[in-house]
Amino acid sequence: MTAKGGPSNASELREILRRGDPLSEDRPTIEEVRRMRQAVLNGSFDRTARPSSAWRSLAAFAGATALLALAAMAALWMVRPASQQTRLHPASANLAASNAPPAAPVPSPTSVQPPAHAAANGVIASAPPAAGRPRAGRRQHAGQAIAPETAGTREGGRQQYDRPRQLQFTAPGGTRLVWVLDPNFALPTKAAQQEEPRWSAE
Amino acid sequence: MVSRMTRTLVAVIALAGLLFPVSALGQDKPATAAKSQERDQLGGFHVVLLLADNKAAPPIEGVTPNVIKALKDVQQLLPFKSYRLLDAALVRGSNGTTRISAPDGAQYVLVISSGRTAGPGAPLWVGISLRDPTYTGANQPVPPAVLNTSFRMSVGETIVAGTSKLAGSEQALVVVLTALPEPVLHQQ
Repeated sequence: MTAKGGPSNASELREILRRGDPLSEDRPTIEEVRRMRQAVLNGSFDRTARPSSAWRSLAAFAGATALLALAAMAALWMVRPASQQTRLHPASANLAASNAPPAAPVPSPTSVQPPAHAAANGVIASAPPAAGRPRAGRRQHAGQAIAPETAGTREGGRQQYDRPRQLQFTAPGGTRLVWVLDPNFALPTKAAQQEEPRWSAE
Repeated sequence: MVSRMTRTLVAVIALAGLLFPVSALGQDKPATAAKSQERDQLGGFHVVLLLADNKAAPPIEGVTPNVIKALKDVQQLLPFKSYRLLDAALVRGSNGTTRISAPDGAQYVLVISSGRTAGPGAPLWVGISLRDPTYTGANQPVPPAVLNTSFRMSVGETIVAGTSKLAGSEQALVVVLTALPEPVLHQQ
């Protein structure tokens, strides 16, 4: 079936279709095919070699998170309690600088000097803690972080103190021991307490 | 058809089995946190005053197991051979004052004060002061403390605090202090 006024036979119709067919042109040369193939391959390699913007964003986010975590850990380390910083030995005979209290009932004794009897028993084998750590010293209140060199007088190569010193140990079992070495320590006697109390904290 | 329905049913049951413990854990969490917070609430302090001596004596009696454990722990750090019980006291709350027997029948005034530097769960700052009320020092309104110290501690922890002379001390005063949680104190 043909339209009115159109080609009358099949050979004419075939000819018309061949003229209008874009693929009826000559095939591309080998050089053109090679160039086309090269262009396609180059485009493919470029896409695989370059990360997408999503991956780049993810990598940047991971990097920023890692940096934040590092900063947070550093900040936590800076503000952790001084008692943890000054722990010297994990197991036995731990010597830690005494931290000052915010609400002690009365002025506290000074701190940091090994007791003579403990040292003689080999309990303390380390230098006074926090001596080389300014942060620990900063946390101690005034009057507590007195350096040994300035806290007492040296007689015959041995320090002599006239004020109480406080030490903190951690026993191997985990119990903490707070010991105050007081040069003026004396036990009371009943005879001295026969009279009425002159002071009461109540 | 039946086998497909069976498989679907099995899958649903397995999913429910997986999700149930998670939901149960989610329900338990607030209860656990509440219990932990309750344990962390300070109810008071148990104070035991001991006299440490270089002379040998029978083992200490009449003290709680946690005091014995604490003394055993610190014995190897101290040069004393025996410990004698002088007195024990219970101080309710975070601050308190009580009288406590000293050696030779005398008496001390014990002052305890404590507080938290941060919110719940943070360690306590505890200060203890042991004073001789009959001290007759010249122009001193407050007698000097026999023992005056402060430290951090957690609720439920037992700390041994003591005082002695610098060297060659024959005797020493030892305070074993336990920070009691609120529930424990209510039971007593």
